[in-house]
Amino acid sequence: MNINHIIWIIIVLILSVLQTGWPDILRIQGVTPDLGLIMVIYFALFYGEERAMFTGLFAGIYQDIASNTALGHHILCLVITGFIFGKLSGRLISEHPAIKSALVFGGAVLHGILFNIIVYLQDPYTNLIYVIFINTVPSAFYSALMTPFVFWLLQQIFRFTDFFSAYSPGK
Amino acid sequence: MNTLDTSKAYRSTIIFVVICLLCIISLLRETPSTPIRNFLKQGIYLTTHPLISIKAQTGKFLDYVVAVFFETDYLKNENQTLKEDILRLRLALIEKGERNYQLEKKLKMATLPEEWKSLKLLQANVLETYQGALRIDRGSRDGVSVSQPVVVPEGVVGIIIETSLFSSVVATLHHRECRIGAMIQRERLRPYDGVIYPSGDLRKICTMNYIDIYDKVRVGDYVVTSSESTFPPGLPIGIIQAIHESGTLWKSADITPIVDPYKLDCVFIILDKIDPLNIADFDNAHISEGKIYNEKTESQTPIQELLAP
Repeated sequence: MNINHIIWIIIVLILSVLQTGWPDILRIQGVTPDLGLIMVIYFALFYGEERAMFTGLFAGIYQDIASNTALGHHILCLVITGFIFGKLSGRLISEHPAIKSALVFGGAVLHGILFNIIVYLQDPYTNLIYVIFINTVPSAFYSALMTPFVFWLLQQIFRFTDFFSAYSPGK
Repeated sequence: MNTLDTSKAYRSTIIFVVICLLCIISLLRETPSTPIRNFLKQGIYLTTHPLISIKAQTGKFLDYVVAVFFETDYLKNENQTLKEDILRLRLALIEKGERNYQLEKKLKMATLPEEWKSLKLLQANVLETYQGALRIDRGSRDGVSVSQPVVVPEGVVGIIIETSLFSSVVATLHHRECRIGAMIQRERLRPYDGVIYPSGDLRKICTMNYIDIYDKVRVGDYVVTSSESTFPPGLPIGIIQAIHESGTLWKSADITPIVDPYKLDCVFIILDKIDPLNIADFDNAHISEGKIYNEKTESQTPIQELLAP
């Protein structure tokens, strides 16, 4: 395990903690961005589906534990999203920030739909369409708006770690 | 393409399928995340405990350093305030103790022996003590005269030997001029001269001389006032400490006075002259454990016999 992996795990943990532990900091009008999802899509676009799936796995475990839901709920949604966007990343030109934001928006909608479908399967009395429009779409917009900042921050961190890994004594 | 290459090509798909299957199984079984959360929580507690302890200790140390170096004035003021508080409390304690002593003294004075209630008593405070004498704050203006007996509830103190307008001098049993008519309570035995007087040495004891060699006197017998004295008969004077036989027809006894005059703050002067007709009643008084009891029995003894030495 090189320093890049360690930094990756730490970043996943920090953003997951930020997502679950301090939602009031990020909340606007009751809507919060999904930092875990932004991370998953970032790793799917720049590091492929495998890294994205493991990011989804770690972030999902943490979110399941933090939100006290059945184990696998967040994990499944994030892993599916990460896998799909990881596969798509090879076929998309995603250098422009607007494309990235749009991808995150799409990923957030997909994630929200999957999440609410699972909720609906567990509790059929839930109004699925209403929840998607009231909660998922605004959250997806907010996540899309946060995307350039989060992506820039992650790029800065991993640029430094990539540089450091390239010149480490093991190389 | 062999199996290894196939697995490498589809590795991400396999991982995806495995994770998805596990998640679906977990969701179907509704596996709670609480055990993992508890496990992580315990791990976090264990990991962070040393850090939290170090943080607490460091905080205490920094507070101590700040207090030592930057709050010396506060500590000095606090110390001064505490000292003042201690002094005030000590003074209050002394005052309480003195008040308690005064109350105890008043209580003792209020519980006078039954026989004394018919007597006319005058309370006097002791002003000073010197060479076995007491100076009291009552004088001839208050009706005090020479030879009047002075007592306390425990027993005899002495007799008045000098009076002035506002004060008087009491010769106690330690004073060389004190003579008190006495008898031994148990056998109602009187010595030949009928008095006891101070030994004159520093042992603070009195002497009773001229006791007949055949009289039964024991160490520990109570010596009380006799009918010939100016005191009411039966008042405790002292206890026989030693008996000396000189080889003649007489023997003598050393007597330790019951009352220590140097510890007195307040005494009573008996202003009444003792009526010989009441002597029979007083004569029946006896002492037990330092207290006076009076058996009001109808004595058939003639008054001459009662007064005889």
